[in-house]
Amino acid sequence: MEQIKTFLDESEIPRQWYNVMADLPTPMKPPLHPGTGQPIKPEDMAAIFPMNIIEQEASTQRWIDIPEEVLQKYLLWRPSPLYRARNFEKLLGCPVKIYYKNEGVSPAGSHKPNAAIPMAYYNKVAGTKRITTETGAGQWGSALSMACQMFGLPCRVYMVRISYDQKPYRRMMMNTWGAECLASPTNLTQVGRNVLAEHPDSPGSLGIAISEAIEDAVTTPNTKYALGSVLNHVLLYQSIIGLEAKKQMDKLGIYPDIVMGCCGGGSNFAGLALPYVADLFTGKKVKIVGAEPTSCPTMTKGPFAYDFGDLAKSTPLLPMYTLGHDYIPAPIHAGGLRYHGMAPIISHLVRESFIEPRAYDQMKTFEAGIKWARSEGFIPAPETNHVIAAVVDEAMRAKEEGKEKVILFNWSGHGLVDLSAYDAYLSGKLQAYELPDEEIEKALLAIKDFPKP
Amino acid sequence: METPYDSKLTRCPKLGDEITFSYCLREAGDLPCARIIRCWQAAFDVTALLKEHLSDRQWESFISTSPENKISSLIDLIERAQERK
Repeated sequence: MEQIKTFLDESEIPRQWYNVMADLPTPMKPPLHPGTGQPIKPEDMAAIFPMNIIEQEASTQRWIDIPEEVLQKYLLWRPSPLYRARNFEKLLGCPVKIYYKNEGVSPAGSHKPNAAIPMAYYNKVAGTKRITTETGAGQWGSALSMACQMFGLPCRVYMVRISYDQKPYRRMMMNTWGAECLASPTNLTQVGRNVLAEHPDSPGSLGIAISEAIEDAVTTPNTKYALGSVLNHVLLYQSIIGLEAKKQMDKLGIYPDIVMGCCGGGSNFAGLALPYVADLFTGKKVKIVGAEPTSCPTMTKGPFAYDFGDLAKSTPLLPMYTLGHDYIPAPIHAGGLRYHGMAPIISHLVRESFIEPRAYDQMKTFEAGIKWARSEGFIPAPETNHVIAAVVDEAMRAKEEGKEKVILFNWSGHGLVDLSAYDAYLSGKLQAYELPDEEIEKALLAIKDFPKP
Repeated sequence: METPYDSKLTRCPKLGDEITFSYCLREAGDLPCARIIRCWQAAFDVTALLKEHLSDRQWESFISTSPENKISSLIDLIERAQERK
């Protein structure tokens, strides 16, 4: 019998989170106040976050103690098991050992409670009486609903209407955990009323939902707001994933060659990767890859060439995989993790070349996810499929190079509440596209006179 | 704006949900979602479609909008909410 799972005893759960801000070789630029242009001060955020969380957001302390009350809740599913994907390895037939942290074992089915629980706890001890948040399809909203229930805090979730209507199961999960889940835009906030006055049938957007959640927090006494990704303190709380993985890999006497995760806002990727980024800073050799969504086929169709790095063509020419800026504006295919809602820490580490971004289109990710489900059994969340596609690529590369490699990745959640996405894929509603060669040639005319890297 | 692609379906990385192109076109009210080109260009030439359908002012506004740092955007939202208080 071959070993599949590696466990940590509950007593071995990490007692501190890791804060990468303490070790960055080059400091990050501070966020600026949009009105004054000056660095933001802690009190600027006091209307929506309690001071204990604001202090962590700005902290440069390397290790931060995990409160006993948070550890006690983490123990409901943590330490999460480290799996070896032996069946997937056999399916791929490549010289790789594939390990993954199964974050789908949490009650909410994803990594999100790792951050939701400390957020609810710190709010509780700071005297917050109620929490608001926004959610898209509900992964974050459901995790926070559960965490708030654990600490006796009422929670209101503004859920983007289109998802509220299309994805009832996470709304039901939120309700089951005692939260109030509303379809945004609502008529409870001025922002919502303004939108509805102009577009009574508005399907909502994340931008509207976040505006509603913040207005609610700012205008209601003793109410604070919680955000489930992007911010430093969220990445800090998620670091428990990588810290556990390191202990588990140590038990096996193995160190990964490649550490990977899928990147939306950056929280699950950072959770696994940042403790390994710390190793990079000390000279250890490990490749760290973030996989993100795109529909753009540049990685397979476009040449590596110089092109503009921003839409206004105001940057110097940058080497990138490109189909020319007239076809797809450069930042959209070249920017990757550096743009659009990615955690600033991750963007910084990409710029400094500690993290390698990869983009995968949805068809390739579902193809990988289906292969996974049919070999390993677990049905991944559609977001998790992005990293599985990246794992497949790395495995194939290892085969081409004839090198044995150890891959570690974060299996960030299960897809049991996202089966409509699989249905859309399997029934052919998500369309595949092969860019015609003549279209590529036409697009590349825009950069034909640029220097070649 | 109506287009031949309105009912085409994709998975939205922001929402974590399957949505149609018509949603992406009006995700930001008057303007399309900032990710629309990145999400759809492989399916059809959405850049050309937007240039054709958006007014000059809308197109300029769309391409010149750069994503804000998250903390800065939160501060902006806080201040706007406080003004409405």
